[in-house]
Amino acid sequence: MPSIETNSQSLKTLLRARAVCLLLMFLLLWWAEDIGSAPAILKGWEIWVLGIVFGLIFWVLGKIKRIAGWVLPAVFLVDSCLIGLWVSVSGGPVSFYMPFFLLILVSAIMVLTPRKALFVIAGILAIFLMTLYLDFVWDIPLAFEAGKINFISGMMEHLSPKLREGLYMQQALRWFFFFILTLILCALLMRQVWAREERLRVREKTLEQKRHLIQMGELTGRVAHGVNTPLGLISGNLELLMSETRKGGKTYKQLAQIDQYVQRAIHTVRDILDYSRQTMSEIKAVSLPQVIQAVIGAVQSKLKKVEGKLILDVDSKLPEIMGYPEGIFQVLLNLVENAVDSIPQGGLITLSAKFEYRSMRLSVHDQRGGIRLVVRDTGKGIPSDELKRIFEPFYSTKGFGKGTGLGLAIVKRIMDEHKGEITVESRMGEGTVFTLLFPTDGLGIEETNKQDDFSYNELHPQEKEPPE
Amino acid sequence: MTLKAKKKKSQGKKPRKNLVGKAHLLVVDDEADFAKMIQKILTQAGYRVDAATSATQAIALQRKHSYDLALVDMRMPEMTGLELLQYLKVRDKKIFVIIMTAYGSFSVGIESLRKGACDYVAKPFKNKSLKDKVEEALQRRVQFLEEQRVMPQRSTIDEL
Repeated sequence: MPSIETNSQSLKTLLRARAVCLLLMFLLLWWAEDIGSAPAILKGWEIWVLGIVFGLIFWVLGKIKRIAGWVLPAVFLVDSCLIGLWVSVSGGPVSFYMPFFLLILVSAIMVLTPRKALFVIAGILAIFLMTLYLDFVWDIPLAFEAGKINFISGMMEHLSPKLREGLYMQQALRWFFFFILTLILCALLMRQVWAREERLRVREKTLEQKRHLIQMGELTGRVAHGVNTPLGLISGNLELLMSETRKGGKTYKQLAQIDQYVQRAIHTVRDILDYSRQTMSEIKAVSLPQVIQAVIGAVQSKLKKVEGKLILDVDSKLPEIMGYPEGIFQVLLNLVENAVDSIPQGGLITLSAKFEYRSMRLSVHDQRGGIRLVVRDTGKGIPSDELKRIFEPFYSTKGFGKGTGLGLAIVKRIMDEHKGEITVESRMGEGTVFTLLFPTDGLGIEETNKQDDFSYNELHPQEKEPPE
Repeated sequence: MTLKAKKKKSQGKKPRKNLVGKAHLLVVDDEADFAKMIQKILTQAGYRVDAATSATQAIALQRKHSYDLALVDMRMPEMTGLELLQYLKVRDKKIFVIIMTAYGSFSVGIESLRKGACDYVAKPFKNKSLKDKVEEALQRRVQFLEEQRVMPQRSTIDEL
């Protein structure tokens, strides 16, 4: 059994309400005895003691921070026994069961979502009707036969032994009936409580992770910012210096070496910055054609340099996907940049985006599909042993000073975050094909994430340049 | 999206010679060395370049000269690059602005495009790519001015 951390207030309030309801129930029982309709089994102070003891037990349980998994089912089992007992021995009219209904109703409203609470309310209504049936179809004729129409008080004493036997049977049946029903209801409640706790725990965990990431992001952002300006100065002046120096000379070679290292530093800072930044942006509807446009703009100059050609094949009517615009941009930019890098002597890059219905249709939600995005190049290809490790962080085949090996690891991570898929195929000498699949049914990112978004947007209202 | 469309159109054309040399540029960066460096790079490329190290200085300079293109740093002490962009555009509707940012990201880029910048560059950049962007922006400006001359009532980039 899993142990439940009741950090959430819901479980505590549930148990407290339970305590109050039980006290109320025993109070009513005591009052019923006072007016003479309660069973003879429980009398006077015993009822008080029982009520207070049970109420206190639940109250204390509500105060415990960590509740072992078995305590709650036990609570519910005791409940159902008590309720069964209470119903079977009271023999009174429907109104006497109200505390019990109240008990489950309060729990249901507190713990369940409105739609599921309706379920429980319907169940309670069913029990209510059953009780009515039992009372009016069984009790009233019996009471009539016994010459007693008033079944509120003193019904039991005035029945003949034979009828009384029948009533006992009826009560036993009732007890069984209620016991089973409450058990089912309680099980339903339990499942909800557990599921909710689990959800909360997962959410808290992801929230904590996000907070951590935000702090990390802020830190890396600051560091990168502090590093980017000097790096820009160094690389810019270095290039100016190189343009003034005789090519092939000793000084030029040394400067070229410095430039190589500076470029490497720039790459690393940019990769880290990209990695941290995409966790800080917010989820929006992203139009893929727009992102593709931006990516093409970003790689245009690089593409010109290698004299490569880029062929676009994008559906005119692509649905929007929910996700981090920053992240999706990053994914495409990385893949297209890699493709450009793979054709240093010129070649062809094909970028196609198509909307696809899902071929398998397992449920109603499955009828929507996703966007299949393919980036194909005519480069030299990747050997199969390297292909296996291609998504590992810090694994680079580009050689010293060119790649940090973070690019595709970031791509993989972002695709995972969008519940998307990424596959790669490559043939030596023919080229490499990256295939991405973005879900468009809004399931890409869960709703809880959106709520989390709210809280960290408060922390970081906008992605701005950090103040100095 | 009209921006993008124009961008695509202009890519096919060959650079005009009269753009270089005639064009008057303004560089605004609170980091004086950075501004000087960019001034040097672009002067080498054949442009007339003025440098300002603050937004107020930039606005004062704009009173004296009329600039074709301004390169504005995103993060500056007095006002952000986007605010300065709006100031510059109020005084001169024909000025084109490129935003420079050390915290370059896709959304900063989109934001500056929406506010009326014609492009953005992320620091650190290659000198070549900066020159390319400046050249492309100037080409687009010429195209824009021609369009303005033909159809003056058409909505301008400032109104976007």
